[in-house]
Amino acid sequence: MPRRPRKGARPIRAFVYAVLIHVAFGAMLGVTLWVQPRTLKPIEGKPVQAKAIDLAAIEREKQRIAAEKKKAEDEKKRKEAEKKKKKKEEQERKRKEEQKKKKAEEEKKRKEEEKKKKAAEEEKKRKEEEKKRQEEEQKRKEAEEAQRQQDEQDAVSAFGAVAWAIQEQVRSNWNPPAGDFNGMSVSFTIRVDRDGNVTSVAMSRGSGNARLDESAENAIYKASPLPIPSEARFYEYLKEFEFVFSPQS
Amino acid sequence: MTARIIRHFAAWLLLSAAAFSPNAFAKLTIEITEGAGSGIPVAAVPFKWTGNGSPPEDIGAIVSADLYRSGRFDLLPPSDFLSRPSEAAEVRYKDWRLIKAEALIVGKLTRTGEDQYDVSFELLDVYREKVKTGLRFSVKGSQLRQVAHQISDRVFYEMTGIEGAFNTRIAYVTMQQNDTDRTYQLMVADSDGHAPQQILKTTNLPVLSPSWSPNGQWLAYVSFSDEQSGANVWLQDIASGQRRRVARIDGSASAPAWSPDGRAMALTISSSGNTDIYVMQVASGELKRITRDPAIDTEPAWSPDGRYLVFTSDRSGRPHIYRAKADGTGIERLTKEGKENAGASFDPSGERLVMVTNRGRGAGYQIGVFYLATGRTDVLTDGTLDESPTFSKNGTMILYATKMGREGVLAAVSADGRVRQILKLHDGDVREPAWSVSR
Amino acid sequence: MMRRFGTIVMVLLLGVAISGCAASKKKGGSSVEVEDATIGSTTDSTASGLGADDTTAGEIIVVEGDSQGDLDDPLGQRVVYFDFDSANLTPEAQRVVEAHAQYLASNPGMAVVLEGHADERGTREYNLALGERRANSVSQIFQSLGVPADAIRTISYGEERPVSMGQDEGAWSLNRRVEILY
Repeated sequence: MPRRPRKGARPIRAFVYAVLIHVAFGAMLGVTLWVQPRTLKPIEGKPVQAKAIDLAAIEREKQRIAAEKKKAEDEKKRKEAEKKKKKKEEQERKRKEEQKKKKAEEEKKRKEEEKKKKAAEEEKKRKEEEKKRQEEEQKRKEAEEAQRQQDEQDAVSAFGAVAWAIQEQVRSNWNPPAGDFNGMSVSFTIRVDRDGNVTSVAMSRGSGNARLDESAENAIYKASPLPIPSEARFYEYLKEFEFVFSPQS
Repeated sequence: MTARIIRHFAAWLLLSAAAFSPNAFAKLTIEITEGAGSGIPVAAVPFKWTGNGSPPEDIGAIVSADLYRSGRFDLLPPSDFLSRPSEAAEVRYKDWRLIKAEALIVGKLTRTGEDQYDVSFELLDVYREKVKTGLRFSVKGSQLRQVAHQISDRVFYEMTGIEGAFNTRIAYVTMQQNDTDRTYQLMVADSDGHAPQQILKTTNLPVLSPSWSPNGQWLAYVSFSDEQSGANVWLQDIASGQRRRVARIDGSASAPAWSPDGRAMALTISSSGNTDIYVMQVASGELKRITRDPAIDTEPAWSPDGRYLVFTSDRSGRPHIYRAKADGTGIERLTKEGKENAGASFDPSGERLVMVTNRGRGAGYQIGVFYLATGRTDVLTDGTLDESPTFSKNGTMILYATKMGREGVLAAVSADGRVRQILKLHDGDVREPAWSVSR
Repeated sequence: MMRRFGTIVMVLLLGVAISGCAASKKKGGSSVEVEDATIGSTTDSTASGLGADDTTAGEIIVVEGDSQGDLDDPLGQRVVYFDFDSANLTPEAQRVVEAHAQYLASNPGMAVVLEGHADERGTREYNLALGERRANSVSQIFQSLGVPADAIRTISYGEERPVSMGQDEGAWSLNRRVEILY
């Protein structure tokens, strides 16, 4: 069963206080009872009027009673006060408790809210970051694309710079059959590896003369490896290209 | 160098046009417009000989020499060969790709009897790694050179699509002079100059204008009987050596030319100071006059279809080439350019003439090819006294006479003028070559 | 031990099998054209005529020609010369020819041979005809001056009998000639 410490504490405390109070009263009563039979010794030397002594005693008694009363009233007051205090305390406590509770609730709420807020913030942040990331991604892609295009242009440009060397290397290995082949032409699609070794040769259009076609194909094999540009980023764009043989006799 | 820069620039333009096109990635293309200018690289491996001592003939060497002489092949030096296969099964194609041979010739020569030999040969495509063709022969020792030439013919055909002309013979005249006399010999040899045989020998009586019969069995030629007679035409059977004069003619006869069917002969007859073309039926001797002009008309030659004759005539003032139908009608002048043109004969296709041409301005006499369709003349040689050109039977080579210093020698030039070679055949003066169409 | 031996044998057999496969691959399934080509009968007959037995061809004809004609020409000049590619006589040549013509005309029964020649430029057959034309042009003058035709014989040697072997105009001009021989 749920136990709230305050609530649980209160009956015990109340009990304890009650006991204490009873003990206190009892004690006081006891004290007073014990104290009362004590007789006062006459003070030597002086004849004391009995009446005067009694008056004093009565005064004292009165005082005592008054004091007691006072005491008791004080006590009562005190008790009341205490009670009040207690009550107040209790109230205070309650209040405080409630306050605490409230506070706790509020705190909880606050925390929840904070949590929510935080979550929301985080979400926002995350979204923002996501967005940022996407934007960056986008930028990166664009940059990549731009780089790719640049690479491609550079590759083509680099290829162009060595095209004459490739052309010459194939030309110097080409021994076409004798004859007039003016106007005829045979084309091949070539693949090379990164070192320029020819890895595949496919005739894309024949000239109609098998010996001319074969001689051109032989020339490509003999010219391998070809002096393609060696930069790694160019390879993607240069790994396949065309040869067109158009003898002009 | 300039041409290189231009090519570089052109290639670059082609590529940049491709690169900057709207399509992100157009195809890179390189154009090649000419070859190395050398022949097809071929490796001819010495034929394997399993007998004792040296082989009776070095077949691989004969084939290599034939192919080299045609001007169309680069024969790779045997010292570069990494292996010496004698048949397709033994070939490691990588060895031959290393030296960039496009074709490989391998073979074997084996003695199978007292005078009996087996020859086998294969022609291989190195980059496609397959056998293109092969032949096997069983022959006598005396026929081994012919076998080699037949192998050359087969290789030539496979590589070029044109029939080979290596298994043919040539006739030519030699002249040797001492203090008092000139000795003439009419010779027949293999087309590579080997195995020359004497057909005729004379002292102080010139020999000219040999002409082969289409079946290769007869030679017609011009010579003199004695000091009192003018030139005459003889027909001689090469195998037996028997000969006869063409006909008793009043005057002189010369410039014999067998018709493509071997039944007729065109020739020049001079009588009463007039020199004209006649056609004679070989069997009967019957003569038909073809030209009647008072000018010199000589040197007739038949078109391959036998329908036309071309000849030399100076009826315009200087010698030029004319054409007539075989019956003498329809005479028209063919050569319009140059100072003089003479000694024309047809190529086997009938589309071209080879002739002696003089372009004037001190150019001298050179060998030219005349294209009937266009009238254009290509000059193939640069001598000063080049003459008697004769086509090979496949129209790819021209044999002719030229001078090396004071000495007359024979030379061969490819019909496109690219390759020229001197044939060192004999001591003394060599002239008047004629190329047979059959063996 | 046996096990190891067995392994080695297996490896060897495997190697043989692989190389066998490679070899048969090289033989190629495609067309190996192997013909039996025997040399035809024409070759045999030719061979027997000129063949490897080293005997020279058939009948060898050795024809001896007479040496040059005698030199005791009473009229001195027996050679007349011509311009390149021409059969026209120079006036000097004309005079010589006429002298001989008169001699012949006044000596019936004398026969004369006119040998026509050309320099080496141009083809041999054309030069044969040119020599013929030159000899003939002298013959025409003879006949026009009364020499009977049957007393005259013309022979052309074209460029085949040069008197000068040089390859310049000096030599050529000496070879462009007609010789008057009795």
